[in-house]
Amino acid sequence: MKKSFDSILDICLDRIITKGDTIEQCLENYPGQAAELEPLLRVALSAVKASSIIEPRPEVQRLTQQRLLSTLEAKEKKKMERRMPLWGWQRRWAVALVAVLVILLIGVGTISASASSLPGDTLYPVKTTTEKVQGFFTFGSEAKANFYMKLAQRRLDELNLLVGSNRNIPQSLLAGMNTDTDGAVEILSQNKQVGNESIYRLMALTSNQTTVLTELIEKVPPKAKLAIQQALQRCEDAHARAVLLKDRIPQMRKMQMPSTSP
Amino acid sequence: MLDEESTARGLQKRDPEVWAEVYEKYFSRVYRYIAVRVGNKTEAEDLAGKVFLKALESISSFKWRGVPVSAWLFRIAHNQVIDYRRTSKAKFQSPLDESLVSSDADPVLEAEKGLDIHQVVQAVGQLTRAQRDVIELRFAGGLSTAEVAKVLGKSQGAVKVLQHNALVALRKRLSSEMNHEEEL
Repeated sequence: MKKSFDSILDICLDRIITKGDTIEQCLENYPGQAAELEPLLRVALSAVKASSIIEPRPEVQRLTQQRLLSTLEAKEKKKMERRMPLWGWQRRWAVALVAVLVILLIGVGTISASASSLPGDTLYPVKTTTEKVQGFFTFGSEAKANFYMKLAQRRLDELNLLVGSNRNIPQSLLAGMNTDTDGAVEILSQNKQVGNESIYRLMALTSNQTTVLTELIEKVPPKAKLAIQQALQRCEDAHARAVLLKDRIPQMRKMQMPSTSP
Repeated sequence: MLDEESTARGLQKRDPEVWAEVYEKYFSRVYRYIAVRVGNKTEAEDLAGKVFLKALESISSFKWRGVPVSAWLFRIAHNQVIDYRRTSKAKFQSPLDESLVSSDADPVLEAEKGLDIHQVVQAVGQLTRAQRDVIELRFAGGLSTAEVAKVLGKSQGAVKVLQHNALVALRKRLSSEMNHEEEL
């Protein structure tokens, strides 16, 4: 069956674009249509080549992939929680209830005393439980993001104090700092109505984390270096995402401003 | 490398390796397609990311009926751009942001490639809506005519006709532009 010109053009485009054939190689197979085909193939090839220089920034590509995979992980976790209800909202209420009971049992004084405790101290679990309760009663996405930033800063301060007093650094401390920071980044990324202040605070936090951890790598014993290095990588990623959020500020402002055009 | 059906099944099972593979394979192409349509680097990166998050959200309702994964993703991207333009009230194609062109691009090499991306986007912007859809999906998105047909819900024959007419129109516009530049 005789092919239409549209189909011949399409076959040649596929050969040139995907298989890397030259225009001349294609024209050899269709001498009868060569005169009409050639200029169209040249335009198409130029258009493909021109658009090939548009590439996303590698750091954005990497961060977006990380975000996709962490969303995937969160969805799977949620699915598991649905299968085991005690791991879902009931667990969160259980935590709050236990915390209230703890407060009643151990008293406000102990809680105040726990504020300056460090990982490994007897009162440290009281401090983290109190934080969980505070987190439970923090409402609104921006408030939650700021709360996570506060916790991340607290973990960083604790880390500094532990290193300063030559004490062991538990892996959970670094993981907690990274998780709280990522939580803040995620909330601010998803909410386009957040104030600039929160974004600048996030930038300052992640920048501070990066500086402190870079300095710490030199001070800690060799066995702790890898853990610090990994935490540093996550802080750098969080900082890169914070910078991207800052880049979004002018556009967010534009979206929030009412149109003044007639 | 997985075949189309295994890829679709892996996506449905939310297999992280399959998702990572699909992301690696299509992110740049989806981004390029969106970038030429919205003309802004940051917005294009944001929207391209949303395409994959949206794909993840809707994967449970995805049914394998022989539609390639690429066509499914680009359909999401196509709708995402339509929504974006509706909400941003952009009536016409935005002019290309200078920063869209990769900073790694060698200016000498780019000059040798002939047409400038800005000229191409401007010329494509003057095509009919249907022609533009085909050209952007085919050349910026790198889809085959069969895949373009699936994204746009048209027959392959109709896509080939649109492609032919679009290239004729582009040739006229771009050659007159180049002649005009030479005269200057």
